[in-house]
Amino acid sequence: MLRKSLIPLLLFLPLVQVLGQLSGNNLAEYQLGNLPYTEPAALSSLYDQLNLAYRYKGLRASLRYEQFLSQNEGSSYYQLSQFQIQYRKDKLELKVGNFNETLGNGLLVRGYEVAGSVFEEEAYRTRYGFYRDMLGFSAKYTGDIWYMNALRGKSLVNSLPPTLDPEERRVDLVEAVETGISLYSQTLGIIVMRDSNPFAEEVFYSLLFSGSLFNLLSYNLEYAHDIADDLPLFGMDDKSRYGLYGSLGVALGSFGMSLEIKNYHKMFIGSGISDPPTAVREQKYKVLNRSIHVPQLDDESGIQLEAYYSFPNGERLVFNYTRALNQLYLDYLFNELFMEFSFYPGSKNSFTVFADYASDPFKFEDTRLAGGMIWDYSLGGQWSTQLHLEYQYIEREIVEVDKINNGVLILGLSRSPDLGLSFIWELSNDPYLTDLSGNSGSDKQYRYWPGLEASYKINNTNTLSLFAGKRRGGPACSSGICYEVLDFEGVELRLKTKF
Amino acid sequence: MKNQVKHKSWIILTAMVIFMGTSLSYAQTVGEPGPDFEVNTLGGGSFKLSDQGGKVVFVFLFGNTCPSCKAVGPTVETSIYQEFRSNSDFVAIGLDTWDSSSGESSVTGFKNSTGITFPLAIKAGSVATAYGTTFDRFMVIDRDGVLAHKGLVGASNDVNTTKAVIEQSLMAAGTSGLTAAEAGVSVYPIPASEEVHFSSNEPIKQVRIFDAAGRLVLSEIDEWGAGGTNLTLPVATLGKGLYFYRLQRADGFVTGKLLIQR
Repeated sequence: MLRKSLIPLLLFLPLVQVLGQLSGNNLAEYQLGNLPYTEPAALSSLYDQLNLAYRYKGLRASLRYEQFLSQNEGSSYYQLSQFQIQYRKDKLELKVGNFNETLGNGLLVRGYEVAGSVFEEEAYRTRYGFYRDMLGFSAKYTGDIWYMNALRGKSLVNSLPPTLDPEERRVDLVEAVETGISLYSQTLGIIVMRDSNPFAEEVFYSLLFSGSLFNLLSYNLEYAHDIADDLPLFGMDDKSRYGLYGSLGVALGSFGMSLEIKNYHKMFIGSGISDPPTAVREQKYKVLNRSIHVPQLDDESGIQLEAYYSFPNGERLVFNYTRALNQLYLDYLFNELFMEFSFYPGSKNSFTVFADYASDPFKFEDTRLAGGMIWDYSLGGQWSTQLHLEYQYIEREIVEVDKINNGVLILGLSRSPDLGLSFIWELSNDPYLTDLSGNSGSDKQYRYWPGLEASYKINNTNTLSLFAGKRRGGPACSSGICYEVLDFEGVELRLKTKF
Repeated sequence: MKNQVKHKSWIILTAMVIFMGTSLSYAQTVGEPGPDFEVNTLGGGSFKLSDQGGKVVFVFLFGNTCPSCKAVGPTVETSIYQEFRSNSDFVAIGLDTWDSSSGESSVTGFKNSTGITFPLAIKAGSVATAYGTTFDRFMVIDRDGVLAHKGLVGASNDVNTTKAVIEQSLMAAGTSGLTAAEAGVSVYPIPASEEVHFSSNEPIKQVRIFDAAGRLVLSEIDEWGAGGTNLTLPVATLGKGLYFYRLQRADGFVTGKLLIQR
């Protein structure tokens, strides 16, 4: 198995040297370790993702090859996971094979890739690139006034690993056309989409309005609705499947503001081919990103309001308010207030402080408070140090009220642009994590995750990263895509190569 | 020379595409016996599939903090469990497949937030693996231990199909365990191509054909109550592959496989 799977990789290496038209990158990740409380503790596994592209005039051919080798029986695989032939001429773009395409704001169809991420499916213990592509073809024409995008393809169910039957990983056949006109910075568009899977065939339409006014204000509005025999074509009644998303942005010198609204009802389509905008702030802070509100596509309405002010000396204040109502079996009202202030005392210091309050009854967390800071101190030249502190307090009432503390400490040293070294220490007394029955950690009041991270850019083409210790998992969101990251204990070595 | 290199590189790329298109695959298919499993349930106790002999087993696979699983949970309770729980031949089990965070606290949180009252199992990811499925999915295992339904789409979009399969599986009580021959039913030709003929020593009330995914694809009913013992179904529009039939009579159902080949 090992020898067989390495043959294609070995074939590529001399080719890269010989053919100047080829470009690509490779991500290799070796892990020696495992999930906490899981045997064997020193599980050895290797994931590799190779992306190659060949371009000739308007023609581009690309492919992705992934392989995973593990001591875990049944979780290893090797496969050509993507290929694409793309042709571009003037205003026309054609693609055959695997492609990521999003129509409108993603209320109906959204393809994506979380760049550089390696997803591990928990039950299968298999790692693979985290993306949701389509296999089929697409055609796009972008004229001065008129545009059109048509596609037909089978969407990937990325919660199923590559070790399963490819047919079962692509159950939704999506056929869609988006077209519209743009005049005087205003765009009016329409999408018609049909999704067919073994259990249902559904048709939706969507109307799009977007543009800008006086170089001051930008807006974006999309309304999607299903087309069913026994239901009206328009409206927001309980039986219909609909989605409404709107955003409004204003910039006035140092002041800026954005408002987002959303109202989604029964918008989980097929195996999950859509991802409407979350209208929730994505956070760089670990404690907040783990607690992020993930939209419920069965029913969610709400708003997000964000405002900022940049002071003349570069200081910046950000305010965010998010509200989301889920009318499921019961009503759940989520509220979050967030503030962040960045300031620069002296020439060598950079501070960012934040405070956050949230009430999240869907998670039984009526009170959630968080605060923290990031301090960067320049040591002169290219060297700097970082201190990163976060604290979160949660009151969660399931059987009784649990008072949960989460903490993060990061000490960093870096030399721009090639070297970074961080010591990370996290702690939590969250019963979800400490009270794992049957685990050796069940009697612990607190759990700790100490870890060391290092990255070194060897040259313009190679970057090496190392992690050693314990890494805390949990939900993570990036660019509106949320997924679960698993805990890890051990050593992880990652090499990124560009050529 | 430059063109030759370009041509050569295209040929090599194409060859690599063909060469590398392989992967390991396995998946439990509808119509096959469901692999046995035993899991520990919340609050103590265990659940073993093979101990449920003669019952229709509904399985809800979830992740303890999976948002879409939590959202569909109340519907699972009210539209599926409460609907069938009075039938003594029906049993439901929820399986938490997110093993690394699966514990008493996290699964209790899931139970309380969804209002689910049927048993929930902890650390049951191995069942998802054995059946080739994932979280936010439903499965139904019929009274003979055969996988009758494996959801391929998100659970919230699979409620009606799953209910239909449970209903059909429960209705198969009358002739459960009987083969077509034992029940005096003959089906021919097998494999079929254009038509399938059903013949029974008792009047046929209805015949339904399901594809391998459990979807109803053909149905013929004795709407006039003529009480005929022969029925012919046209199958020319169906694609090649394995299907399942359910033949209803006054005394119950007979189920069996149907192969279509051309």
